[in-house]
Amino acid sequence: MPFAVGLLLALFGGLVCVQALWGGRGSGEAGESAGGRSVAAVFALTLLAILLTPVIGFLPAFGLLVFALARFVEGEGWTAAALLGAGGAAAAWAVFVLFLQIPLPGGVFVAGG
Amino acid sequence: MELLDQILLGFQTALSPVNLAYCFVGVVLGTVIGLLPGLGSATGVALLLPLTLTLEPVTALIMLAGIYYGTQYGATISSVLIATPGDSATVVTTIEGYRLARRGRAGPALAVAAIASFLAGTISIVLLMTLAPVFASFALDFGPPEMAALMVLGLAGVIGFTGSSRAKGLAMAAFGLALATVGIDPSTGVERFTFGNVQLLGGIGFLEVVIGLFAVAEVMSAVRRGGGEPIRTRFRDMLLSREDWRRSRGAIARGGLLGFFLGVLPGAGATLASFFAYDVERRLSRRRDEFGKGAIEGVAGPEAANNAAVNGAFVPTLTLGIPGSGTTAVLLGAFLLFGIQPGPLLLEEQPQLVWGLIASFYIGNLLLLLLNLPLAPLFASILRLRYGLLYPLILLLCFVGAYAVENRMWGVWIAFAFGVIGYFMKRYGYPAAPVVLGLILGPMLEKALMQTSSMGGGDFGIFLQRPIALALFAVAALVVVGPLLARGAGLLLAGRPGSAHGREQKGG
Repeated sequence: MPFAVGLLLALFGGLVCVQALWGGRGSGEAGESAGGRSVAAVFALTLLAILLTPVIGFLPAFGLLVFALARFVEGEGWTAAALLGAGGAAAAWAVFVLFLQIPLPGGVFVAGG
Repeated sequence: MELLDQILLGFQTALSPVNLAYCFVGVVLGTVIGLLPGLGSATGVALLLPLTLTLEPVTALIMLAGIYYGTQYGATISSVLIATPGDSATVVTTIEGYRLARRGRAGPALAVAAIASFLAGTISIVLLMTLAPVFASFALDFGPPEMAALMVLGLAGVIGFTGSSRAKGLAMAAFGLALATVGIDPSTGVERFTFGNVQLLGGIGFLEVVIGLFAVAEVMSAVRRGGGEPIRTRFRDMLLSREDWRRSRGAIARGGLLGFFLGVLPGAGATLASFFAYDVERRLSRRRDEFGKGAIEGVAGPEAANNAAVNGAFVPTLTLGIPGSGTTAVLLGAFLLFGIQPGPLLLEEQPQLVWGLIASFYIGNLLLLLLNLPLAPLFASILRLRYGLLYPLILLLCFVGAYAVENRMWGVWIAFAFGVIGYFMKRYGYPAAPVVLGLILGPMLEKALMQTSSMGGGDFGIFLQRPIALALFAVAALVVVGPLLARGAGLLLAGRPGSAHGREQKGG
């Protein structure tokens, strides 16, 4: 199975290459360059939040992510961004931890997580 | 008589207070998600699937199906009011719907869309109830070779829901199959592609991949793309004149039937159905000059078709275990997650689940009609929210959801990685739905192939003795190669070089 799949992948990948070379301009490269940098920022901040999770806990890390995205990437005010981050984390806590009883990682400061 | 009993059983199940409540929650959440530009039905189902993990399977599936319907209704609202389709199946609705809204007739456009969806839903649920048992009994004779052939056909069908390029769609399906090979080999127990990582032993979870590919990637692609200011509507505008109704009813009937049968075909789905229905209405209309300027039948037909196609897509999903669209592929994954194997035996083994689900479709449609006629203007006010405030919260939901699937950070990492992959796939026109289909069908296909080879004593020659399997393979080959041959023949006949046809397809 893996072998056959690899073969297929190579075959169709090759087809895409051939089409791209033949067709000159690719069909999908419609420029979205203006948004490129902020998308990179969003990805980078998300990565940071995931890396912070084992240290400060899941909801604090992702609450901070929401705050940072709203404040720095989207240019919202400090208060609005802080409210959004805290509110989002609280809502997620209510739905997942209280209602669905899914324990989210608490980080090193919360005993037992 | 037996069928009637089962339908009654279905309504009994669907009307139980708990199921009714979750159906309601599903359609409301679906409408809200559908409204948001960029978040389509597959994303909505994937995003909210983790919320249903602790529910009873019937209840969970009823809620997920409600989300599926709700997104279609919600997507219509944003198509009409801000000319930004919330889902690919309502792209066509923007053509006439937005024009109508610009002329001050947003109310009737939304009303006719809701009524068309409901009526077409009714037609297609009756068809679904009668056709599903027929399909299932036909498929009961299928052994592993036929199932393997059927899955190949399902994978070949992905061409139907890949927008731009056939090769890209097929490559992505192969990518999905490749992802499915990670983990322990089901026949030999050998570890494959785990690189000694314990987390990879169980394979790559489909839900985390879906959250990444659909939800995270969609949100990323929409970052910084603000929505337009919606056109205002009021409740008392939501009334149809006799003239509107007269012009729409034929379109609704045609759209409903067309949509259902296109939906049944593996891979065709709601988007294609809505485009076809629009084309049919334009050709049949006696007021062809009004098309493009706000013809109400140009809203009614496609809206009827996309809703009917949703029901149609459930026929192969429930009876064969082969999803008819990207969203039903996600739903099929949900079935598997709850330990339910869709296929010909499902109707016999779990009549309560299947008929309860089908009955809930009807109830969900009714709820949506009742909600949408008076409340569409209220829902529309969500469109006034700034996307910059919204998407951080959606991201939060994505990652909490990815964690909740198996209660481990690994899921978050997978969702993040596939979010990045999905963003670039989207940017360069690689469709995500075939990856999901490949990932879900991969293990099933592998199992069927294994059983086939042991039936034939380690030899795949047994395929040659199974006419149905051979026929299915032939159809699959035709689906892949057919359009190429047709194009080639067309070129020969026309006797001119160039690929106007090919370019047309890319444009769509």
